[in-house]
Amino acid sequence: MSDDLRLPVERRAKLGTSDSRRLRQAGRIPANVYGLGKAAASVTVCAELVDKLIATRSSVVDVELEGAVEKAVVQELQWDVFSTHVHHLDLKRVDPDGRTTVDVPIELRGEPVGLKDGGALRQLSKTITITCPDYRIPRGIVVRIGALQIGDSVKAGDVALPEHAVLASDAGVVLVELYDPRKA
Amino acid sequence: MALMPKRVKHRKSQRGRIRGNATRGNTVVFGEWALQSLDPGHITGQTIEACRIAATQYVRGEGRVYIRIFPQKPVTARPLETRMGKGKGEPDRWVAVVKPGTVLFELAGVSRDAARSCFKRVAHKLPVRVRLVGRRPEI
Repeated sequence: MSDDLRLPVERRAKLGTSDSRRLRQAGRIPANVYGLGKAAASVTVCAELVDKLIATRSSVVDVELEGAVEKAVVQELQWDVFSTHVHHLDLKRVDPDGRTTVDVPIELRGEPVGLKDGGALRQLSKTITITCPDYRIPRGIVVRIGALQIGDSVKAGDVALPEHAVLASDAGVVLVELYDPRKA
Repeated sequence: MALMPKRVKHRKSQRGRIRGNATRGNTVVFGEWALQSLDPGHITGQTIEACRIAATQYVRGEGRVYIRIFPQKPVTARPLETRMGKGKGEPDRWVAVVKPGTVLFELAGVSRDAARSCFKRVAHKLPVRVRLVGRRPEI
């Protein structure tokens, strides 16, 4: 059972500005479901569920359309002028079994302890290669370097990866090291 | 020194009407908090400068202030006690045309409470109603 938000949607027959406005007044938000070579569908979503979706900060949803459940990502959110209400959302179908290998940027967090002892930080790689589901590519991988002493390094295998990702590069690749500039 | 264009194609322009809401420049882009206009209006370069001073003096090096509007439009005025006719007046001031929804100023590096206090000082100087907005949630 997926832990993603289940989004029941209803097919809408009436399209266009006026009908969309009426839908929003009735607490429904117009949306489109498309992708994976299947036919696109114009649908509506409950506004409360969209607020809940935004609160979860997750773009992956299980779209329930006419009894069938499909995995989708929120491709685009359209807001009103004052950024208070969502006007429309695009839901793009994704392959639940699709996996991809990508280079994800590394975000260094913390100030190494060894810096105070005269160490110098050297970042040897700005990205890390991971394999993850197509629809869960992280924006960045956090690497904590606060505990580094002079001579220490962080290797690709030491990095804590997100739940669905696995390391695709060599685990021994050094990403960051704290060296002694006097000996270099 | 108030903001004004370095060079313009035409010295004088017609005033026009401000219709509709802002469809561009209506989101927080550079900072975390912003002052968003709720009314249409013209904001002069002098007003923008006064707002900038009020905001920067409040944050005092802790945050950063971004100005999101620029006075592109010349407004002419006629000298006092002159008779009608004799053509259009000379350029008097430069104004930014603001629609409802336009983000006027942004603040980065400060808390919500600090941003609210800062923008309250700024709002007193503005000829339009404004409100505090944050960034749109990213999902």
